[in-house]
Amino acid sequence: MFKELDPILHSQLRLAVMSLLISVREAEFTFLKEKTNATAGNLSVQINKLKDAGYIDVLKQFKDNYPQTICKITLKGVDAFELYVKALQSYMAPNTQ
Amino acid sequence: MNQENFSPQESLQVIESMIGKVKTSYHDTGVGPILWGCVVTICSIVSYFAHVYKHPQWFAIWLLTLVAVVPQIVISIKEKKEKKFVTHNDIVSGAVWTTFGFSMMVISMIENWGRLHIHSSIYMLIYGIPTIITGWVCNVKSMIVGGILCWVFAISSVFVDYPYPFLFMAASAIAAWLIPGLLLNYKYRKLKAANV
Repeated sequence: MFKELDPILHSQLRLAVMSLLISVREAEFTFLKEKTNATAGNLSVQINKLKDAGYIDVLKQFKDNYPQTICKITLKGVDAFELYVKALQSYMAPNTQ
Repeated sequence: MNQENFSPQESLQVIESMIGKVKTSYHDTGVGPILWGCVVTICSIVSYFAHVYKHPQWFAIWLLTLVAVVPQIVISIKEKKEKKFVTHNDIVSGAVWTTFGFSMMVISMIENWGRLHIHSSIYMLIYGIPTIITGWVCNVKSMIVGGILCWVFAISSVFVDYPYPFLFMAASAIAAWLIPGLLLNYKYRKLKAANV
């Protein structure tokens, strides 16, 4: 039986951001932008959606007089990502579920 | 990149590709290990000759390790500025090398004071290392504080004679393990009660 995919994560850019953040402790906005090849505006919108869902924490601060945005996955985000991957597995090998 | 209609295969590709990108994003320059490899090799070889040729003043070469701390700090700050993300490995290695560096410094101090025979101070210093690393990596503040207190007690105990260092050891064990353990246990029970 196919498991339902989390609609928050089932978006390429949001999934890309979560995949990057699950691999690190925290990352700067510029790093996420560079790796996803997204525009700043679009990335910002998607990051806010993930933040509103409680999947990531966003910290805005100043570094060398420049604004800096740091993103970090939350425990809720890790759980959601794990569930999403498990649900994906049910699509990959449905007979074994 | 923001389509909502993509297949599970494409999802897996996105995950795999992003994780791969993180892996290839940063490589350690190796400058720090090269620096310390050179400094400690030189100091050790000079110490060997100082012993063989009976020139005790040559042992002052070890002051080079203090000088080497300056470029190490500069390198660390530069690398931190250039890096746009922090990995889990960074946290672990940062905790390990910081506690190691501080422990080496304290051991040198105790040796210079001629109090290295107070073995319990060395034990307390060692108690502090895993306690601080665990607290740092797992984000348990009480363990970080407990580990730092172990080091404070380690330094303090060299100024007293036996059997008083044992009382410092008891205080270290209370600060490093007993109190954090009780706090963790309280938190665990609270979480367990909330989930029932």
